[in-house]
Amino acid sequence: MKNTKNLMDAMVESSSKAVNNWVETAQKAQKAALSGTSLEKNSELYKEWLNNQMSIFRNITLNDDDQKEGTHTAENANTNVEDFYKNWYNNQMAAFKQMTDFNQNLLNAWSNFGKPANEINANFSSINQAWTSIYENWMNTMNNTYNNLSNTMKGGLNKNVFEQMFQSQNVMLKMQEFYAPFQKAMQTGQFNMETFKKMMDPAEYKKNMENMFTSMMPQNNMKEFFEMYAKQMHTMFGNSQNLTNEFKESMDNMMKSFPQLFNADMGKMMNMYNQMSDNLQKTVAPFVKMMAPGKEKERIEASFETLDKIAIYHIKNAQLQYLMMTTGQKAVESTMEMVIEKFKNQTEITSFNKFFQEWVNLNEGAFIELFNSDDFSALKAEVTSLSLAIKKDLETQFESQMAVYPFVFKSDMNEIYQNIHDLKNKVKSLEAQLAAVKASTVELEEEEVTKKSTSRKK
Amino acid sequence: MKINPSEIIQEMAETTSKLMKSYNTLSQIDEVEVGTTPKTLVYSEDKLKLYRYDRETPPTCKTPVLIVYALVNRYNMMDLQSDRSYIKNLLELGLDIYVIDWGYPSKADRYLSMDDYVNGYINNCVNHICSEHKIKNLNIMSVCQGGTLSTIYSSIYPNKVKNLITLVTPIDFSVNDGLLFRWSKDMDFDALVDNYDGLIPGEFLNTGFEMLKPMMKINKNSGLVNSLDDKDKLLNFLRMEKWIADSPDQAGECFRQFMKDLYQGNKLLKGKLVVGNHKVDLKNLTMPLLNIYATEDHLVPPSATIPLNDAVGSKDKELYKFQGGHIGVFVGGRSQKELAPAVFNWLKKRD
Repeated sequence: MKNTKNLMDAMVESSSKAVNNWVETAQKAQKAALSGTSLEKNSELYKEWLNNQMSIFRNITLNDDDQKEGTHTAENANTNVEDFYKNWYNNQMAAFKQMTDFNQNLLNAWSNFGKPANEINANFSSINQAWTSIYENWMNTMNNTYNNLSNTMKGGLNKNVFEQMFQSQNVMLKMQEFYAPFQKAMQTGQFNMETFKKMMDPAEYKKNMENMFTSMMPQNNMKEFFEMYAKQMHTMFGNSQNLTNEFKESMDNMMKSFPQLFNADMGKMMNMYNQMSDNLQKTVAPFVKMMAPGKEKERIEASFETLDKIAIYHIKNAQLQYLMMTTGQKAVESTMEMVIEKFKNQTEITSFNKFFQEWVNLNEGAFIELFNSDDFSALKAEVTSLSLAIKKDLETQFESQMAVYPFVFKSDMNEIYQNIHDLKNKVKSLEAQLAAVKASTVELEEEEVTKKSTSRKK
Repeated sequence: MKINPSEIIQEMAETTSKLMKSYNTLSQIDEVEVGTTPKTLVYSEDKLKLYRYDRETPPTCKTPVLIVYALVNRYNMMDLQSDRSYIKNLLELGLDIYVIDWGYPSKADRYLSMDDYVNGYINNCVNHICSEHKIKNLNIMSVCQGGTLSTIYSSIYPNKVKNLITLVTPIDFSVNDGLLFRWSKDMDFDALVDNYDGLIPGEFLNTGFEMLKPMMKINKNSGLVNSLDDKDKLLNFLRMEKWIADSPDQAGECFRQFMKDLYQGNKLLKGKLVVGNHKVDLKNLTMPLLNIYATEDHLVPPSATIPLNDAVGSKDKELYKFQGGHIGVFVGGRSQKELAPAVFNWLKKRD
C-alpha cells in the first residue's frame, strides 16, 4: 500500500511539473511563431522540452526507493504506472508535435489574414478561411491533447467537469471565430446587417448549436438514416426487382430530392415519406399475405411498423432541430443588430467577452421563448414518445427472435417484480396487523393487571 | 476592440494556460464529499433509510423534525458543504432532525406507487419516530416534490403531524409559468413509463432540467475557467456538480400517478386525488403551516406554491417569501442567515 501511495504521489507531482513545462514551452513556441522564427526556435524548444520531460520521468524512477523493493502487492501497480507513463509520455510527444505544426500553419494563415482588405465582401471568403484555419488548427491540437489528458484525470466527476469546461470553452472560441471577421469588417467601416447576412456561414453556426444542445441534436441525421434504409430495402428486394420497381422508383425520387427536403419543408418531407411508405406496403403486402399466420409473419409485420415509426421519428426530430436552428439563427441576428446599433452610435463593444455575454443572454431568452411555445412542447412530446416506442419495439422484436433460447427477458422479469411488490405489501400489511394485535393484547393485559391491583387494594 | 495578431496569439496562449492549469488543479483534487454532517441510521425498509442527525447537546425544540425530500435528486442538497449547510445550521440552532433517504430505485421497484410512498414509507417513518420518542405527532419539513407528498400525507393523517413546513413545493399544477408545467401538459406519461420499462432514468429528468435554463451550462463553465486559482470556489463548484449528477431513477408507477394526476389533472387542488384507499382533502390539513416559496424559482414558480395556504383547513398558516431561486433556498448565504433561523423560531414558537 505504501508503495502504491508513494507512486501515486510521485505521479501527481510529476504530472504537475510536466504540465507546467508543457504550458511554458507552448507559450514560448507561440511567441516564436509571432516573431517569425518559429522553425529554428521550435527545434530548440522541442529539444529543451524533451530534456525536461525526460528528467521529470527519470527523477520519479530514481527517487522512488520503495518501488525498487518490489513487493508482490505493488507489482501490478508498478506495471500500471509504467504503462501510464509510457502512454502519457507518448501523448505529450504527440501533443507537442501538433503544437509545433500548428504554429507553422497559424503563421501561414495569419499572413493571409493580415493582407489589407480593400473590399470586405470581395475578400471575405479568404479572410474567413484564414480565420477558420487558425482556430481549427488550434482547436484540433487542443482537442487531441485534452482528450488524452482527461483520460488520466482522477475520479469520474473531475473528468466530467474538465470535459464540460473544455466543451464550453470550445463554444466560446467557436463564437470568437465566427465573430472576428465581422469585427474586422467593422474596423474598415464596411459592415451592416446586409453584409452580415451575406457573410454568415450557417453550417459553421450549426456546428456550434450542436455543441450546445448535444442531447437534442443526434449526430446521425436523417440523410444517413434514409441512405441506410434505402440500402436495406434494395438488398431485401434485390431478387425480385420486377415486383418492387414502383417502390424503388419512389425511394430513388426521395433520395434525389434530399437537398430540397432539407430546406426545412417538413410537410413535403412527410408527404414524400407517406407516398414511399404506401408503395412499400403495396409491394410487401402480397408477400406477407402469402405467409401462414405465425411468429414469422408477426415479426415481419412488426419490423415494418417499427421502420415506419423510425422514419416518422426522424422527420419529427428534423423538425425539432429546425426549430432549434432557426431560434439560434434569430438570436445571433439580434446580437449582430445590437452590435451594429452600438457601432453606429459609436459605443463600440470593446471586448469579445462582452459580445459573447450579449449573445448568451439573447440566446437564453430566445430558447426559453421557443421552449415555452405550444409548437415546441407538442413536438418535443411527440419525438420523445416516438423514440421510446421505437426502443420498446426493438426490445420486443429482440425478445421474439431470441424466444427459443434459455434467456430471461424483461417482460418475464416484470411479472416477477409485480409479484414481489404485491407479496411485500401483503407481508407488510400482515406485519402491521400482527403488531396491532400484539399492541392491543399488551394493552388488555396491562388493563387486567391494573384492574387486579386496584381490586386487591380495595 | 481592435484586432491584431499578437493579441489573438496571446489570447490563445492564455486560454491554453488556463485550461492546462484547470487540468492541473482538477488532477490534484480527490473526489469531493457532500452530506458530511454526522448521522446515524435508525430505520430501514426496502431501499429507504431513515437517519437521525447526531447531536452533542439536547435539542432546544423538543418535537423531532422529519425531513421529507423529493424523490428527484438527493437530500444532501441541504448539506452540501459544512460552512453552508442548511441542516447543520438547524441542528446547531437546536432541532432534533431525521431525514428520509429514498435510495436509488431499480427495475425491481418499478411498481412502487404513490400509495407505497405516502401510506407506506412516510407513514412507517413517522410511526417509527413517534414510537421511539413516545409521542403522538411530530414536525414535518418537506422539500419540493417531497412537500407535495407531505401535504398529501398531512391531509390523510392530520393527527400525526404537529406542524408542517413546505419549501418550494408545487401544489397548483394548472399554472403555465414554468417550462416543466408547460411541457407536462403534452407529454404521454403512460408511454414514457411503459417504454422506459417502469424506471424513469435520472438522466432523462436532468436533461429536462438543463433545458429550463439553456445557456446556464455554457455560462457556468466559461466562468469557471477564470476562477480556477480559487480552490475553495472550485471545490464548491465540484460539490454542486456532484449533487446535480447524482440523480436517482424514478419508480415508474409513482411517477405515472404524480405526473398524470397532479401535473396534468391538478387533482390535489381540485380535491379529486385518491392515494391508495384515501381520498385526499386539503381541508383536512389543519395543523400550523409554514409555506416557503422562492421568488426566482424557475423549477417551481411561486404561482404553483402560494395557493396552498388558501386550500388548507389550517387556521395558523404563514407564507414566507424567500428572495432567491429554487436551490438558493438551501445553499445561498441568505438561506443560512435568514431562512434557517426563521424556520427554527417558527417551530420553537409552536413546540
